[in-house]
Amino acid sequence: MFLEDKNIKLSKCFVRKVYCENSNQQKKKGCLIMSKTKLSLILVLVAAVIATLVILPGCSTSTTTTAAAETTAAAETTAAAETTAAAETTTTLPEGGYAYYDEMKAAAKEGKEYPGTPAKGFSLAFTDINGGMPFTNSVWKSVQDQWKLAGGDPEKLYYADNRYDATIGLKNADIMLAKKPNVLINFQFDAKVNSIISNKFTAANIPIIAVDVPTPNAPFMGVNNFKVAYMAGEAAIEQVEAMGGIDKIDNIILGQFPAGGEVLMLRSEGFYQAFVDKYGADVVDPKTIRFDGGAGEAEQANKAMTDVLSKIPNAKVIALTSINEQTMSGIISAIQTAGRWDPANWIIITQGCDEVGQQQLRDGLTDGAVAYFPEHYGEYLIPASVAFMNGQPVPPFLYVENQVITMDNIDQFYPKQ
Amino acid sequence: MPEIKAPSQEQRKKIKLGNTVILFIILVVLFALFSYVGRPFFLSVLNLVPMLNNLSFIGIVAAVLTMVMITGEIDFSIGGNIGLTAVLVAFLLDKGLPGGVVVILALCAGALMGAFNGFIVTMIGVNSMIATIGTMFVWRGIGYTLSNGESMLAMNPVIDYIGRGFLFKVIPFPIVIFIVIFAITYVVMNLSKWGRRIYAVGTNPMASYLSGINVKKIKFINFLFSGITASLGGLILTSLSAVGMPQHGQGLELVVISSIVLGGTALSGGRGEILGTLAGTLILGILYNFLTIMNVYYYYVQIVQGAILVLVVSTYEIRQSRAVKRA
Repeated sequence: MFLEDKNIKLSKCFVRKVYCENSNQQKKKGCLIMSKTKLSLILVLVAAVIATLVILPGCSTSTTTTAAAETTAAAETTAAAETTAAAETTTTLPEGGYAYYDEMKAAAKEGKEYPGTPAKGFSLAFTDINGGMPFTNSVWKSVQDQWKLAGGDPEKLYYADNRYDATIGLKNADIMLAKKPNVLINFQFDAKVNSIISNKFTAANIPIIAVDVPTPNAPFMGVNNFKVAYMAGEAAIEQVEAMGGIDKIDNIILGQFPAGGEVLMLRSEGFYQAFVDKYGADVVDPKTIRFDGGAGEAEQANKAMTDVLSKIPNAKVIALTSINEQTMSGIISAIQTAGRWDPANWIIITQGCDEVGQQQLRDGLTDGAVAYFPEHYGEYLIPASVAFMNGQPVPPFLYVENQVITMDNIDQFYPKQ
Repeated sequence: MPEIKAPSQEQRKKIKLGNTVILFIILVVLFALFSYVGRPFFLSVLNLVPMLNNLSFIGIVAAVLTMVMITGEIDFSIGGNIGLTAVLVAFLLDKGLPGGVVVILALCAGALMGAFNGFIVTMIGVNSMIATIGTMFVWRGIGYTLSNGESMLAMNPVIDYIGRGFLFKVIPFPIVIFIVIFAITYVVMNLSKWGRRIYAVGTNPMASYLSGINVKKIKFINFLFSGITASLGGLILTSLSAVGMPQHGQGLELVVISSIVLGGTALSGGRGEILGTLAGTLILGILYNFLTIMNVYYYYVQIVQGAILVLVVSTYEIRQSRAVKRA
């Protein structure tokens, strides 16, 4: 009994001692320690306040009208943008057409200074999907070069790296908004998150140009994902035919990125569709394997491909594509690590043909690449930006011209340095 | 060999107060510097309010994780928790549940995740770093499974309000939650028996146990609240982006832990301050904001953030070891 009492006293003393050590109230006699009841009451009160604040204003119609309207609009526009980007659309041509844009585009293509230095006095924000990759480096350099040709001040060309992260993308969008640019070029990987970015910039009357991933209320610049994938499929089919037809193929593998949205899915589904159109779904479907190769990093694609290979231990002749050449690096590395690499048995067509893709092609790792010409992206983006800056119309879709690059024509487009 | 004594109560108090004060001085100096160099963009409502808004979910998670870390434990699963919560919210809204119910269910899910961590650490005795790295993958994996790896729209008036609403049409609601959570954790850690017990457990778990403190209970409840606040962070992030995606919160655990460590909390437990965490969160936040405003590439941003973290934490250790030598 005595020991128990002593323990309780010791416990109280210890807690009191540690409390006194860690608080600023040591000088006060007795050190104020709240009772359990008081603390519980405070906590309950605060919880009640939070609950009230969360639930009541959120549910009341007066405060949510704007938010609801905003979100509905965002949902509608996202859906609309995705569908229209995926399908061919017919749009009403504005009076006078896109003469201004076309004039700027012509100067851009020739690498000449734009007539009338149209970017002078304006600012432009560029949020990059993931800086430091050959593809995005080319795009950014092209934007910088064209901005100079348009007479833009390099100090007024704002840059932020979204790091393939929607949270960072949102943060960067807010920072760019604070800098009040005249136009935003939005290169952000998640089409749905772009709805919120679009809402904010539309409210601030700042036009947006979307790169490769649709943004509501913004012209789309980039590749027609279905078309480039279909081109890759056709290039692969040529190889299949040269090998003796579809019966010689064990599998068709598509490295995808579902989180990138439906439009990005088309970049591999078009490949599949080309096979279906040629051989029929009943032949192609049993051979087709889709896997999530990640957002464009080699490491994730490598792991995913390793899993795929373990599921098809007997497959030898395989046609393969993925969303870009970084993921393809990881995929090829997985094939080599698994001891399954034989260039004669793999038909690989990549997307992008950036520096990595060109090297893969020259090294005989791939059979072809659909070139997006990222080094020419600025030739579309800056003419569109200056058109916006000068109150001129911009076409809703700015598709880059693509080309299948093989060993036969690579030096024509990318001379060996 | 000279005898080394532990610092006295007075010395400990001075060190702790000194660290927090130094941090706030650094914060004020940086803020003033950034306002001058980054003019006219940095010091504007259009910049500072969204910056605080975007920091809010990091701060909320950091405040409660500080309590976990003062007990000598750690919770790496917060990023996975945020990802799963985000997907869960979108999933439940898609099933037609009302926003208020979804909020409650999401917080309950957070409590479950926290309780699971607490159970593994306190009842089974698994090291908290290992346990929560494991559960981080589990939560994120469930998120990927539930969403099929895709992002899902999460739009509902209640959810929208949590991340994008304004209190009295002026103060962004995430900032209100941020302030409330910091106020609660400050009161708990500095004015309650519970807070004293947390410090006691972190300082010396065995002595605390022998003194009658239920060490396991304290750690368990801290994990529970860490789970709930991570889910709250997930709710805010979902609302800010209007999308539930399993990638939400990826890598966030390191950002949060960096803020806490920068704030002076020792990974070994027993030492830390809620106000320090607040200062650490704000310093890292304004640093990123300023460097991005100045068009600095992300690689350099990482270098600067990492260097500041190492520099400040080294300063703490030097001060601590000097105090020990003086004693």
